[in-house]
Amino acid sequence: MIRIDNPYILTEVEIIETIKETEDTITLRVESHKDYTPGQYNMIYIFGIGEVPITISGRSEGVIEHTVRSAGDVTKHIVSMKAGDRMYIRGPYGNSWDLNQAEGRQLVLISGGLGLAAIRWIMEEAIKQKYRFKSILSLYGSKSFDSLLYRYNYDRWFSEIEFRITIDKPDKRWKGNVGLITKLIADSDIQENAVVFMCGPDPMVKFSVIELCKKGVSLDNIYVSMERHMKCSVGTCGHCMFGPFFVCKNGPIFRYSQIKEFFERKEV
Amino acid sequence: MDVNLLIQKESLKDIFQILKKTYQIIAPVFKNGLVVYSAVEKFDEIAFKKKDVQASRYYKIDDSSSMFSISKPVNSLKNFLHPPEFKIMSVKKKNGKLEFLYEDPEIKYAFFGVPPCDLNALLILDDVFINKNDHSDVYYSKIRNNIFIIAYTCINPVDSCFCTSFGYKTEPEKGFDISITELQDYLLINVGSEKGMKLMENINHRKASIEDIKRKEEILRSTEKNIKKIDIEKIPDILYKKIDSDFWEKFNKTCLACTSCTQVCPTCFCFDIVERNDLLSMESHRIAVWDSCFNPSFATVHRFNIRESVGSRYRQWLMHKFAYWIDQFGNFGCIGCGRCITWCPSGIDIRNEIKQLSEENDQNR
Repeated sequence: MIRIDNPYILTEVEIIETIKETEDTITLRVESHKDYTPGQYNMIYIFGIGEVPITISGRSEGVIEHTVRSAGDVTKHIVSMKAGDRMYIRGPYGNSWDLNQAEGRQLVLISGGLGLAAIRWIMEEAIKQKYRFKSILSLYGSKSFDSLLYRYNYDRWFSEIEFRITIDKPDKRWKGNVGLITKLIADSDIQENAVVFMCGPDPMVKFSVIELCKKGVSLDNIYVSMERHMKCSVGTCGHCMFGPFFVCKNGPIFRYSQIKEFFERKEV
Repeated sequence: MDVNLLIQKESLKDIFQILKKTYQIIAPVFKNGLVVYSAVEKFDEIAFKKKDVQASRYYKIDDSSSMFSISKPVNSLKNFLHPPEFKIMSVKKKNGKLEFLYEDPEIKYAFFGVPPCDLNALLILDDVFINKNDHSDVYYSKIRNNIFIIAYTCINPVDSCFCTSFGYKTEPEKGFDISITELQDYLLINVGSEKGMKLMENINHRKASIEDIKRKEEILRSTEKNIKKIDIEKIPDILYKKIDSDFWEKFNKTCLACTSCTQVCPTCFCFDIVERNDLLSMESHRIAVWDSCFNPSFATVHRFNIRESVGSRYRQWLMHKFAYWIDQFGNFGCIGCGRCITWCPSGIDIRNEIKQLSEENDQNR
């Protein structure tokens, strides 16, 4: 007897296409007809090894995208998967970015490294609904030229919105901005009443918020997608606990003013 | 339901026999110097007329003249409803496809002798796993729906007890099927559910008199007097204020991060999910295993432990019990059973820590 509400039930999906992003990162295009919203994540299961939470980095008719970097036992296997392979997932979990918050205002998207995966889908949605915002600014920081993600999207993004990239440790091939994302924030035209969606490593978020405050952006208007160690993803196992929040179900997206007192403290 | 009946002490055995037909009976059992909840087949295995003596780093079992004198067994109901290890599912590869077999526990437990603190802890776990969880835990709820509880009035609070600090009573208040208060020559039964009522219909009984109820109230009063209370009202606010305090640093030295406290705690619910592979059958089992916020792997993301210092892990534990839990589930996560005080090998007494925090807070005002 199987109970339908068992949250651990996995669904088989087929990988339609894989796109090699960098040396250790791929994007999987997976067939799925479920309802998803930008900002949510799935748990991806690998037989005999385990599960990982992976954000949904893109969506088109009947297809979702997951961008995965080989960082541990499970992800190492995921990046070796090929088109036609079957994969097992459960989800979606977590809350979503809310574009209504930015209605009539400047929308600023900030991402660092793989954080762009959590921003990409909402960026595409924002582009589709461009008329709703005063302007869209997307800032993306990458460690190196080789770790740049979604290069095949850049031309379109450059033409549709103000999309700016900075590379911390570039080589000769790079002609653009150099330095950390915080520098790019400082150099960009960000309005006081802008609404910011951000995803990146904790230190990046922390210092980006400081730069945004200098621009007069309110902490109430900054939204952050957080990464924690999710195991059950339904708010029961306790691993992702962050202050009083379960990142897996109360998040992963939080209004910064809501989490400030925990985020800015060590080891919470 | 407020039905109070009197039964002969010998009738307890009849209750045992009736329940045994339907349930696996779990009762406090005396073995290896400890009283623990264990599966029992015979009535005589139950640790009647034993009492525990507990204090910080001290545990001893003595004889008692009363049947129900155990303040609480070492383990708790958590061990049965949310066991240290349980299988979520088995996965098998067949013709390149995976087949999943999800666990669906059929076990029916009757808990034969539960003190009020463990009942209170169970109600807290109900909130965590069922009532205040959007995806109620299938394993916990399945077992939970099939249990029978015989609770009893506490008469032997130990030195580490502080349940009354949270407003709890020394008698079972709710969530039981029948509760027992031991009087001189009889057992006073309070019926707490339809299931309990049905059981009592098969047992010789008479209605309890007002005098019997009065005697019970006397017992409650005298027990309550023996429980040390601590002031917890302002603790959630104080903890939020003291999150940065250097108060937590001493735990880097005093706390061994041994996870004893989280294992004996009847409300600590955190678990890990691990894969256990059988190379012969080529099956993989997804197993939920108790975890602890004191383990270094607990908050590790990409090989980076967010709570590297043991002090920060102790803070996480204490703040979860006394502050975060209230935001998450509307109640304290502690019921004052004092197990963590008895079993901390380092002698950390949560009551002293809370007291110290309050005093520091008063001084800084």
